[in-house]
Amino acid sequence: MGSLDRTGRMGSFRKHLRVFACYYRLNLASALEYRASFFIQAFGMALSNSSFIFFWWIAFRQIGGSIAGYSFEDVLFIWAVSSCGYGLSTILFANVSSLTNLIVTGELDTYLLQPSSALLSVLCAKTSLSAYGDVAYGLILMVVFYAGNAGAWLWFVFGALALAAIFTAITLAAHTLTFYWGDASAVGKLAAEFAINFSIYPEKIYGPAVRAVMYSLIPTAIAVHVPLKLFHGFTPWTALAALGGAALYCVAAGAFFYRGLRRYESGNAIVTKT
Amino acid sequence: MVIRRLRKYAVIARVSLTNAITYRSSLFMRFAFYAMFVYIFMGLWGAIYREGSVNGYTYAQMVWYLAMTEGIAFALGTGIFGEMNDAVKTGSIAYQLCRPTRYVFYQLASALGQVLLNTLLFGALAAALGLLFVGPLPGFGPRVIPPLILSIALSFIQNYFTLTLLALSSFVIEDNTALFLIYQKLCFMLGMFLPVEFLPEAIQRVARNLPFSYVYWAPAKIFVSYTPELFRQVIPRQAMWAASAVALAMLAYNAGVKRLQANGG
Repeated sequence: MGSLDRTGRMGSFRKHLRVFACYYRLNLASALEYRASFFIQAFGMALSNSSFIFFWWIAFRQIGGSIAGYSFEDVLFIWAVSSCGYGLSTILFANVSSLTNLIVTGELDTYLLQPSSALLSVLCAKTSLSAYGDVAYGLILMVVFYAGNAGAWLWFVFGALALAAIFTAITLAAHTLTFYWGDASAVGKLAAEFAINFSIYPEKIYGPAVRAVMYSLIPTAIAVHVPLKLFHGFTPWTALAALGGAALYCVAAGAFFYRGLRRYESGNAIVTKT
Repeated sequence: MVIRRLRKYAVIARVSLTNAITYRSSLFMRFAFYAMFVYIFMGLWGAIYREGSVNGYTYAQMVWYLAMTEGIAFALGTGIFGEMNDAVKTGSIAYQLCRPTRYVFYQLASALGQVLLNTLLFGALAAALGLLFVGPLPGFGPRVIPPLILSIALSFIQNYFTLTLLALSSFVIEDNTALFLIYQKLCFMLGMFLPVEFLPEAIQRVARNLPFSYVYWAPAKIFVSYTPELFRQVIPRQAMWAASAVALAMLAYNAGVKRLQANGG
């Protein structure tokens, strides 16, 4: 019986993986349909990110040493992780920020009728063109500043994947509030903005209350600042706690979505989805 | 004749102000973002000041400087680039050309109501946050207010017409988003996030001779450390860049409208 359950779970996992891969292929094909726009948006995003590095370059050049305990290379590391993690999240799960709109307009019906997980379908239905610029930018930073450093690459990959999952979960949880409160798009935008800004500056510039939020309610620090600490000095318990914390938060966000979904009332909207 | 023309635009601006007051709820979100950015940069500059200092700015002046530059960005931002860009690309500009007004000035008057309301509200919020975080700004008094208002007005004109010019470039360039991003980041880096005095000497010299610093740095510098000498240095340059932006935008508009092909639909 246990073996049958395991086989069933594996089958379901494979099916969802295929659906996920299919969404990604279709989204990429649609992005590449407008190549000029795709490259301009990606380039624009990389350029936009570069301006912040100019800020840090000037700051460290004028001050020297460290700022809030971070060296220039440390800042570049958290930027690389943040840029890549955020980029991956919006390449793969860009539709999460449309969740409020889907609920309010009743268009969520379309996703509920699909023969796969409703959450997976909602998350993967859209991609962001500029997010490719974010990922490219993170990779370029790592290649330029940490090319031969295997430890840095290990924690970079760990951080970027964890951040992609956590950022998606934060946005999902915030938009899920729409099931309870009505239109929560403002909360969703605010949560996303907080999440980004908590990732790209040294954590010690924030007061203790904000730092507590960075490790609990909007836990981007787990995916950005903790990998930097692990890169500087590995401790297995810290790594396990970060991994466990990230996984727990994502599972909780998914459960919160399905709980909220019980309150959803169809809008009887007639929608064509191709 | 001129007064009659101006009256038309005044009516448009009044309607826009009424709209802005009616639909003010969207402002609360922007207040939250503004407060968040000021808080983040206050923390960041606090950390920088623990390690060193910025030429000519105390920490309190720096926090007020940031409250001012962020305030200008939030209050004077109009979304004109996106709107005008879309109007040119979709051809909807053709409908607006039929109005008994100049399109560019019609858009300006439409934006003014929101900008006026934003300036008042973000000004009050900036003052509240500055007082809360670092107390009163040393040396600030009523004598600073007229030059500050003049500097902010010139900053608005320069920024607004530069964005108009960039938007109108869509008459000749298919996708001009990169131009907008480059302009935006140059303004951010040469004044909004970093005072010009914090830049290395060579970049400072370049920045002072380019228009970008005059959008954020000039009014914020006048605000935090006003002197008549600073006024004489900064305001004529602001006026020159603002006038250049207006002239170039109008040239681009006149040239662009001639290229416009409107098909029925």
